[in-house]
Amino acid sequence: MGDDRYSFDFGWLPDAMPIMWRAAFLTVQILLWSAVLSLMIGLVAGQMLMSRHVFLRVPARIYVDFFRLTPLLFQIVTLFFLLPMTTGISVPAFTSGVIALSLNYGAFFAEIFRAGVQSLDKGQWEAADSMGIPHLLVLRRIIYPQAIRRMLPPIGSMLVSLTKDTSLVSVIGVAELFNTAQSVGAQTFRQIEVLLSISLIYLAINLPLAWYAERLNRRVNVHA
Amino acid sequence: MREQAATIVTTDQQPDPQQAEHQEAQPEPRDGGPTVIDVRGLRKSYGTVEVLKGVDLKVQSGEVVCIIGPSGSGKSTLLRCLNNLEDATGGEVWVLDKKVSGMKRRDLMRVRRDIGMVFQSFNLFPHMSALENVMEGQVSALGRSKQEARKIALAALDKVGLASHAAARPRSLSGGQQQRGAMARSRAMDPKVMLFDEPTSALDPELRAEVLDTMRQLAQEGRTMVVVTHEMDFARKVADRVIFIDGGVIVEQGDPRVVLSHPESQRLHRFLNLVLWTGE
Repeated sequence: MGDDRYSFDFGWLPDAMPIMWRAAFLTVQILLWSAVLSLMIGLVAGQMLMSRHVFLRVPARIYVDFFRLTPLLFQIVTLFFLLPMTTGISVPAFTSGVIALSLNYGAFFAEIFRAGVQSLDKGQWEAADSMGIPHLLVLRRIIYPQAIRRMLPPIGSMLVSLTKDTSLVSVIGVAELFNTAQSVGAQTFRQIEVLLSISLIYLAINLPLAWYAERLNRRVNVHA
Repeated sequence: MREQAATIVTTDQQPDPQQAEHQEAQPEPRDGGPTVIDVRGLRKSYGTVEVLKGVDLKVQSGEVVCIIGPSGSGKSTLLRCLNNLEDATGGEVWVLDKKVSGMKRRDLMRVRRDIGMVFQSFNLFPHMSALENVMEGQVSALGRSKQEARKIALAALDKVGLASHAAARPRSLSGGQQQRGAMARSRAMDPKVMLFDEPTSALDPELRAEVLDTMRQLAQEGRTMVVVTHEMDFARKVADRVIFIDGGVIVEQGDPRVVLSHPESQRLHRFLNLVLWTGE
């Protein structure tokens, strides 16, 4: 019986350390780029969703629905092939992956921003509008400072989710954590050990993020 | 007996466009001072429901006008049409010689700086202190410097008895204090007209007096005020003119001492009885 048991072997670890760290660094880079870009996209698209103008609202709605309702993996792969075909320039897998993640998460953030702004009491808009405060200042000084408290918890959990979804860009050959883990596993024949190891790195990124989001969540609930 | 009733009439018809055109060209000043608000044949519908069915109204500079009427009569809608929080579906609304109805947003923003508004639910900004609330519009809309805005805001808060609460968030203020803060916020913009949308209706009875007192002060400053209210006593003592709206039209108007004591129409008679019965 004892001989049949799989024995874990982490002997490959010291040699693979440099390449694994590089991969982890790349994952964090994908995460940060996508987080910043998707939040920016979400802010603009969310605002467009609430626009009085049809020519802003409808394109935003089409974008948001398309990216929310089709698989992220499909978007990553399709964009990777589509970008060079339509633009004529070769786009690095890293860039293509970040764009796909940003567009997908941007769609979700748009809905979060829209919901946060629209959940505010209509009287806040009316008070600000009736004083003749310019629209962008109303948003910046009155609406967003209040709405952001309601947006932070869902944004937090989306960022946790984004960390995990960075692994999907492995399919287009970006040497991030998951992709690298597979090649290291193939070379060392220690797939399971390698995969278990990278789970710790994902946890190291996400645990603080989740903890912080949960704390914000609690604080918002207390004040609501 | 009521001279104003002759010039300020309620019609169920759209005004003659040619005549309206003529009036636009030269808004005629009247004995009480220049006309600040000029509403002509105002109609407002929500879907198939017509809330205002042709309202004509002129308000002169310095006048205090109280609008009374049963709930659902259209009085708040009329008030909200004056600064285009609701846009007219028919007729025209002129404020300070500008056509507010159907106005583009950019122009509306400018006119609104001269039209103060006080809401039933106060609508103070909860993430700002009372002082910041009163400063916000001055800085963001009027472009005043922060120092100037602060000075004016402190004076405005002092005037409504909130000087010692300048640093307080709205959440920690009573309803009466919040509404007085909202009035300070509006007054600090130095508007040429102030609109009040049932300013005491959300308040407990014992808090209403302090708010009405603040409004009386504003009236004594000679401000032009249009007040939608259920406070008959305030209307009687402070208003220059009271307007009774029912079913989307102005049914009766004139000197409050006359109109409220000797209503001509059956509808106002019944309304006043009801209001007095419920102890105002």
